[in-house]
Amino acid sequence: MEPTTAEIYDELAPSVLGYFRSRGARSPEDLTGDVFVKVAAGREGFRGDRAALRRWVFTIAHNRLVDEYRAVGPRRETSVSRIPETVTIDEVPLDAELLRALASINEQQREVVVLRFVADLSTKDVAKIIGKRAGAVKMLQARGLEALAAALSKESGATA
Amino acid sequence: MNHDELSDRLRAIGDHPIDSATGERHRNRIAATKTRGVTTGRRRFSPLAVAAAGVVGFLVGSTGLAMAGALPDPAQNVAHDVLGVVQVEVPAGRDGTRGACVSEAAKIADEVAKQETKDACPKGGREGTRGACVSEAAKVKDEVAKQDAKDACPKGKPDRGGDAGDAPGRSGDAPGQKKDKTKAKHVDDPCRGRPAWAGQMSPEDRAEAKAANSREGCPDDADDADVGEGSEDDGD
Repeated sequence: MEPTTAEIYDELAPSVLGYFRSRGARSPEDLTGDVFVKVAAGREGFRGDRAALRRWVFTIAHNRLVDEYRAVGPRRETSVSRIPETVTIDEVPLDAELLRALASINEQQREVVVLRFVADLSTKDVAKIIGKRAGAVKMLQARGLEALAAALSKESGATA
Repeated sequence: MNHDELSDRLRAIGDHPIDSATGERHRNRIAATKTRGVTTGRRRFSPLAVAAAGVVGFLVGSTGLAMAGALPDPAQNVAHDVLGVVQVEVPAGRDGTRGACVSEAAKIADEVAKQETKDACPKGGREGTRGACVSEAAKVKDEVAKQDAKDACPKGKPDRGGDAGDAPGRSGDAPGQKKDKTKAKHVDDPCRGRPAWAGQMSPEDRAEAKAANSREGCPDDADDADVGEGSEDDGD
């Protein structure tokens, strides 16, 4: 049985919001709403299993973010100073340290790391979304994790 | 920090719950989209409607061209025949091309009728040209009428407005210098130039002209004298 839009939203909205937050979008909540509006509009034409559904939703999210970057222009880079030290949403703290570290790494590496772990997509799906080969995605992922670990160590050292 | 710990922290970002107010706002937007989708989410024009619009556009366009008589002759004839059935008057094709007419005439078995039909066909590309007009004029027997008919023909090539002698480089004059035709050469000197009695005239006129323009008092031509002396020397 095909899931309803509400069910899709309940299942994927946190990941989509996390994706936009990790990518440093200016208004992640609004962009998440935009994505699910598109999902609702195009759901009848979608055919595929749950993995395909997840890939489709994150393809929409990726394209929406690309549009956002184009609209914002060169000011799109996340300002590390914009992320507060502690972020709490509904009493649940957000990993602000990790978000700042993500903002400091290479754009392509960040894109792959976020799609692989925050969006929980396979290497193959990430490759399809960003239009690269699986080997390139694996390489970007490895280098991204290295850079992220280094950035976190640096951040920990700075806060200590 | 190892990669497993890092990936767990990253996944936790994707698992972070959406606050209730934001979730409510999103659900409202999605519900509004679904409602709207019933009326506006459908394709605006079905392929059938697009095809029908194309056919209607083609018919209207071709009928307009047919009414203006702007279609090629065969198509114009077809439009004339077809639209005539539905009482729409459009001009027929000219059918007037000589080729089509002559082809039709060639099908006639009787030779005389065939020739008459061919003669009745419109002239081809030369019709209305100077060449055709002059040819027609040449058939007129009366010389005066013939000349009048020729004069009435349209001019062919642009009139140069003079004879070849007027063209620079063909007159023997330097460019920009025109010969004054009103004044003959050496007209004031009876000893030089063309004799007045030269040319076609009656013997009486010639004698009269010779008497009036005698060259007896004129000096001998130096060149002639030289030649005469030389030839005498040669003869010796």
